[in-house]
Amino acid sequence: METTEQRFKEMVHRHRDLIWRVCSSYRLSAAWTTEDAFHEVLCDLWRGLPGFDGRCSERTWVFRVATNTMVSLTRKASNQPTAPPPEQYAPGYRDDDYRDLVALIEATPEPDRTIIKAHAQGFGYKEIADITGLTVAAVSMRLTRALRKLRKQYNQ
Amino acid sequence: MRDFKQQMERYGDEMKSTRCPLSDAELNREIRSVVWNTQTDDNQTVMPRRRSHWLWPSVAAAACLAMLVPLSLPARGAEGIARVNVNGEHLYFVCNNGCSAEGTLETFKTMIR
Repeated sequence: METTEQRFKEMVHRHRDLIWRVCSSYRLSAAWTTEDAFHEVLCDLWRGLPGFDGRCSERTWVFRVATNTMVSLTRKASNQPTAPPPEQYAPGYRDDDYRDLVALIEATPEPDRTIIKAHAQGFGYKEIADITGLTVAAVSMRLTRALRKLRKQYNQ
Repeated sequence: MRDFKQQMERYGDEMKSTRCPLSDAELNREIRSVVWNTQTDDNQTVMPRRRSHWLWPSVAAAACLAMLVPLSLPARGAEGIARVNVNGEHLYFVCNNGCSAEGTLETFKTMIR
């Protein structure tokens, strides 16, 4: 019989890239590294695993936990100096236009920021609804509005 | 006017193409430290701390004496990982000389006696 530890290990290996992506996409305080955040997410996944009931896909659940951890960490870091963008993992940051867009996304209030990021990761409306706890209709409406606002800010 | 759609597509592409840089061995060590630290803490509820709060044993002993002055030292490459509850604070201690987690904990206990 598979132990919780074995299940956890396999799950982390399956979703390691997704977890890393979520961690590296947030601006943390300068005292934090992406590795720190990654470790923090693993801790939350481990604590939450016994409560995962399979009502949404494992990938969706992992993204939700990782996002909640990161939102919490960035909230705590909001009054501290932020780390420079992780260029080694996102070469596009060197481009000014792209950097502006990323900064605008990072400045977007929750839950719209999570919706934009989940959409960019390829999650569908139903999955984003599972991640955010909103209805599918609300996700659709918020995403449309958030992207419209983002476009306007980007072109100002 | 800047091309918003193109940059959003690029954002999505970069989000999807980012890979975890940790090797299998490094990832397994992360997993092991998370699991180990939540299972061997004298039956206390565990709130693991940040990796950068892991301390070298010699520094850890000094930190205890100095009322847990926050310290940040690199911990990568460490094999032994132990977590200790000191005055309600949960700290990680690492050892890079091949110790097991239990060995690291014993080393730490010896040092602060």
